[in-house]
Amino acid sequence: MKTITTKKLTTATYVTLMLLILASPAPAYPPDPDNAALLYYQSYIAYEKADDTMQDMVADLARGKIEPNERIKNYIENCRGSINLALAATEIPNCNWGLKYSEGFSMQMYHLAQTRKLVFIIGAEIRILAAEGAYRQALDRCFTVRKIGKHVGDETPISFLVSMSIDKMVASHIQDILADMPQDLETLTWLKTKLAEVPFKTPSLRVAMRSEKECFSAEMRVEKRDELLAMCSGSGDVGKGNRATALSLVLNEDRLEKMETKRLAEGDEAFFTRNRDYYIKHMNSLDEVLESSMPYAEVYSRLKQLNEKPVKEITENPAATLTALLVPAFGNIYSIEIRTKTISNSVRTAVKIYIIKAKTGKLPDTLPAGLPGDLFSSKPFKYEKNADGFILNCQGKDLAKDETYKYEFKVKK
Amino acid sequence: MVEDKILVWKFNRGSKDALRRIYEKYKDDLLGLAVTLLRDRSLAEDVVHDVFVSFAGTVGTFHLSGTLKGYLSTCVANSARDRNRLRSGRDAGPDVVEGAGSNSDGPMEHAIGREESGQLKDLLARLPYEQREIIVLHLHHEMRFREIAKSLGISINTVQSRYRYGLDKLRSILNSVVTK
Amino acid sequence: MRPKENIEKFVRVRKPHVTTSRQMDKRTLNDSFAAMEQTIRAKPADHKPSAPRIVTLSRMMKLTAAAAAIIVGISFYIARQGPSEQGITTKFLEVAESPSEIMTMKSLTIAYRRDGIEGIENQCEKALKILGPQPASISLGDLFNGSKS
Repeated sequence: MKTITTKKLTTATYVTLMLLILASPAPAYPPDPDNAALLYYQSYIAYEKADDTMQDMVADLARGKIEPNERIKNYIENCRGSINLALAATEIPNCNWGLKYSEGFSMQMYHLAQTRKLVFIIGAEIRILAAEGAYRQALDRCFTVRKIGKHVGDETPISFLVSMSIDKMVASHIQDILADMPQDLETLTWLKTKLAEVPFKTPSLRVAMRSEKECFSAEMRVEKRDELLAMCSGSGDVGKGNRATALSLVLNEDRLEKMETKRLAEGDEAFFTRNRDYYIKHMNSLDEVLESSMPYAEVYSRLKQLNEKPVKEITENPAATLTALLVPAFGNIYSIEIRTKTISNSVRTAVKIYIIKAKTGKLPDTLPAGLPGDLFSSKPFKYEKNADGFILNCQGKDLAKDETYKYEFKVKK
Repeated sequence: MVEDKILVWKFNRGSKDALRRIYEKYKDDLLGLAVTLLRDRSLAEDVVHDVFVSFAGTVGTFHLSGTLKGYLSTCVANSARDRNRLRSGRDAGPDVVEGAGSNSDGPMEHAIGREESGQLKDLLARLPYEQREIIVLHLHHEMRFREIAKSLGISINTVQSRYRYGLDKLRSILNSVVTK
Repeated sequence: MRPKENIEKFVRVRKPHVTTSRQMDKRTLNDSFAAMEQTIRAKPADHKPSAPRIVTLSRMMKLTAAAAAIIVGISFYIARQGPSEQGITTKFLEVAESPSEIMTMKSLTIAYRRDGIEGIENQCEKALKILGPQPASISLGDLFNGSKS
């Protein structure tokens, strides 16, 4: 009985949505609405629900871990409507997800989970197309995914990180397609042009950071004590209005020294005001560093120093408490941004090398000048040939991971 | 500016804190504009007060198309013009009449004088209101001519010619001061 | 005195620096808050300046909000109901994270602080399993057929 009721209700809800769309003065799709999020939201409800096995298979295929099979192909075909809606969405520059900033820490960001799922579905389709030899179509889909990443945007640092993650996935798709496809000069030249195109939006860490500053500083109030305690303790499941529970969670998890927890639990309005002022000043300092045109290592080092400052001051200065506990290591996020952009640069550089191979029949002995380089060192990649193709080596180190990257590109014989 | 957009989002959702922050952010600039236009601190305070009360009343429906500062500056300029019309209709005070000097300052005007850069206030006071308005919006509030024209409901040519005449007049006043 | 060529610069740098008085701040803010409350009260209950209300200012945003609300609404409803035909919801409800918290800025920030970008990815995975994009037992085709009958 319950199942029938649920089904009826669900049916009614979907029908209402459809009627709403159909009743609008102009059809919502394919014509151009001024907000891509509308089409994305439609896309999310249009893809076929997959069981856990299928979800894992789709993710694995998108990551290049498995080969396409008939089951996945059928599933992706059943998601065609959803993919088409996403394609339409990427043609619209404006994308407003309608986030409720006023809810602060409780703001729902469910669209990130859905978008990630969509990116896996299209990623799986890219792998299927490539496996069938439809390389140009597969590459074209990569740019669809890239645009989705841009739409995810920089409304919060979390959105920014998801956007970076999508960009990285796109680079990986292109890298794998280039390894499989024959060196077709026309396709490679087209790809080079597409990669050089300036996207309609480039998510910015500074914008994300400023948004976080606005949101967090507005939350640094006595009334938000519980949420702040939960954030600082690392527990996401704290009941509202239950300060004792929050406090006990903090103490039990031993994630904070008693002193800081006590300060938060007992702090008055003045305590929160001083913390807010300290936090804003701190975030402004971070912003100034990011605004500068200093090299990566310098920016990273300054961000790291700034992040350590409130931690060092926390014992003597109660106003540093929330900043020390809440501000993420922006040096690491900055490194993720540089890492992602460097991977994209490696793909652009690689395409140029593939073009030379297509024109001359062999890989160049040295890297041509003027190509995008490694952003960790601001120098060109170091190029070396190997048995399978070539390697682009970074000259600078990712200081957050203490690692120097090398990107391997295979060449189809 | 992203901060302003977020503040407007919050304001539209009924956040008093957002409204307070918008006020804190722009109050001095807007009062400066109103004081320069009206040369009467009391009237200027009323103008800024009215603009914010009116802005607060748009909660839930306010749509920001340009910059928030530009929007609020325009509101202050429009409100100041209305006040100026009322005042000139009532007593044709020297402030709005070409050639008026600053010698007639009352105690309130003195208060303004202490806060302002002094000399500029006297010079701008000698300009017709329409020219002063354009010069202040453009040079002090960094509004583009096109933006000013749109917000004041006049053509861009009119804005540019008022600006040019205003600057010419300021030049001639300054030159006359130099030759004296 | 400045040469006449510098007149624009002269005006620009002499921008008056006026500050509001405490009384003015108090009067303006009090009256503004009152105006704000009056506007909010004047609107019908369903037109309070909540996010949905604001979002519906444009037709497209109205549809966006409707779609988002329906996704979340369906997901929550399904997640909170008893076992479905496949028993999927029961299984999902056993996951420790609360559906209302799982994709908040707070939870995602904590996830990132704990496990970096993988933390966010795991949180997204969990959210999809708990809330799901749509019920497994019904397709859009069923919906259209159902609505015709």
